[in-house]
Amino acid sequence: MNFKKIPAIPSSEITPRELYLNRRQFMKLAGSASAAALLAACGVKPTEQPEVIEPGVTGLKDELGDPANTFDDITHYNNYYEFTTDKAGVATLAEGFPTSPWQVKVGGLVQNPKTYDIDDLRAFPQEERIYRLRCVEAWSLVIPWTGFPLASLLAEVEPMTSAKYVAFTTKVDYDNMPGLQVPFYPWPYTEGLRLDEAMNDLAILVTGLYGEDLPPQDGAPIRLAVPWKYGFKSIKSIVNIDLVEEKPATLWNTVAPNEYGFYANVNPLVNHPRWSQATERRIGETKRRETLPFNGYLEQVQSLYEGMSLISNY
Amino acid sequence: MTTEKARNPLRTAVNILAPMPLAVLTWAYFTDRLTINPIQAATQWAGDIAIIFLMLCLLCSPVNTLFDVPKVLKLRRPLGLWSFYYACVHMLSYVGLDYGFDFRLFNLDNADKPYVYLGLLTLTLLSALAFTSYKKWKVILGKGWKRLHKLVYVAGAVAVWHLSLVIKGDLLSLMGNIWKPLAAGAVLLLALILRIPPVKAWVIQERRKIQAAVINRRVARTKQAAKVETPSPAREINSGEG
Repeated sequence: MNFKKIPAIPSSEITPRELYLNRRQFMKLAGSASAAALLAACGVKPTEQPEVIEPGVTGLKDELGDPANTFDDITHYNNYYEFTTDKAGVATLAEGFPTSPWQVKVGGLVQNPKTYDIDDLRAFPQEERIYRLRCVEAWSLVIPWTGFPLASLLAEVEPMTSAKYVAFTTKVDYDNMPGLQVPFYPWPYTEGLRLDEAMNDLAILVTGLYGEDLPPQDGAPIRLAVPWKYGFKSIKSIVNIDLVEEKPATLWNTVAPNEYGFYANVNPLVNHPRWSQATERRIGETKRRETLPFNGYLEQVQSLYEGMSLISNY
Repeated sequence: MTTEKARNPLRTAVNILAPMPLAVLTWAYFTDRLTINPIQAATQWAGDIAIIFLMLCLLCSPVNTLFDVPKVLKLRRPLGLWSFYYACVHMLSYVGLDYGFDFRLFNLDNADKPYVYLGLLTLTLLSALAFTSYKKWKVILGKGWKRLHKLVYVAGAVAVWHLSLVIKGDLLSLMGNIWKPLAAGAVLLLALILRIPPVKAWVIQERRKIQAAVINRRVARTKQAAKVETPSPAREINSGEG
């Protein structure tokens, strides 16, 4: 597997925005194309032949050859309970969510604690990474993120030798996040990684999508992407990153510890009390496909878990 | 029999309204309005509606106990049947649309999932009740019919349990996205509590007291009105306004 072969040119430059825009627009165009054909058949000359765009025509593919999902798909199906549990409703509710000014405080067991302004983080050399996102709800997307390795941020703050884990916290903004009013959740959203997992090159801090700034519903202005783990590990709208010695508490692990493990590596072989983890639906496909161990990133991450039971450490 | 049926407008209303969610669901499915993951959305939607009908069905008896409206008891059969129909849509959507009847894939995912067996048990119970819901079976089974149809409470409990296992959260620790099983569980609990004989007797007794008090007050008021009444039409209009 040659994962490092990532396109050097950002998707925004390869692909004009209109091309990746959306499926609905495509449907509309397709509809008007057939309407135009009908008109032509009736002897009415259409004023302009609309250009028919096929979904996935952006040419962006992950390293397994699967096409990236559309911008519209990625921005209208979000699990972001701080706004709402309705996946299709997050985009509307998150519209105008203030992401500037934004600061990320990096501290805990580090030599150089530092509070970064979002622009400081955007100044890290950004790369495009086409990652699969496998949700614990058994659906998946292929997403062209823009971001930078978490390792390069951690290198700047210099973790102490006592630091074993990295803890992340999402912003709590009562004025703009209506979902926070719902009881039953131990807000704020928190997540964590073991330090060696955080240092893995696959773990990135995401600032953009399809070469543009990250939209609020996808976790603007900065989120995590750890593609070999279930989607809930990839925490959104981060305000705190802390290096700690003990395994940090995480939101879903607190809610239902028997279901949402700390590691939450994508693993079709681990029995899960609910949800289907052996297969998944890639958004846009009609047939289910089998889920890959570590979501297809086995080679890059398996060394992290050598000698560790993936069954008990789910 | 048919005239008796026609006389219950509530039943007609149920049978007109009940297919609406299916119509909306079908329309939303085929017009690409069910998110970008339409099959999962359709499955969950149908399941939610099945549980709503089942809970409405279970509410008939407590509503009658509390408010003395025997007409609603006639809604138990249509509501139960509609719950069964939606449960069938729910199951077919999962097995048929989602897995394309590919039982190798289906088993990979579901063979070890308790929620699948609980769902199947609910559906089995509901089909048994639907099948024996005809008058004919009432006659054949005699006293056993009533006992058999008490299984609707078991079906309700298993359905709530099934729901509590498919939501993201934990009902026991009261954390996560648990409002649906919580609401359904509350309805089920209310229905069951009002079935406990001493509770039911007490509620009916209290209700009768209130009903009697209301009637007494009304009688007293009419008597009073009759006493003061003078046969003047203008006066009557006035009191009507007051």
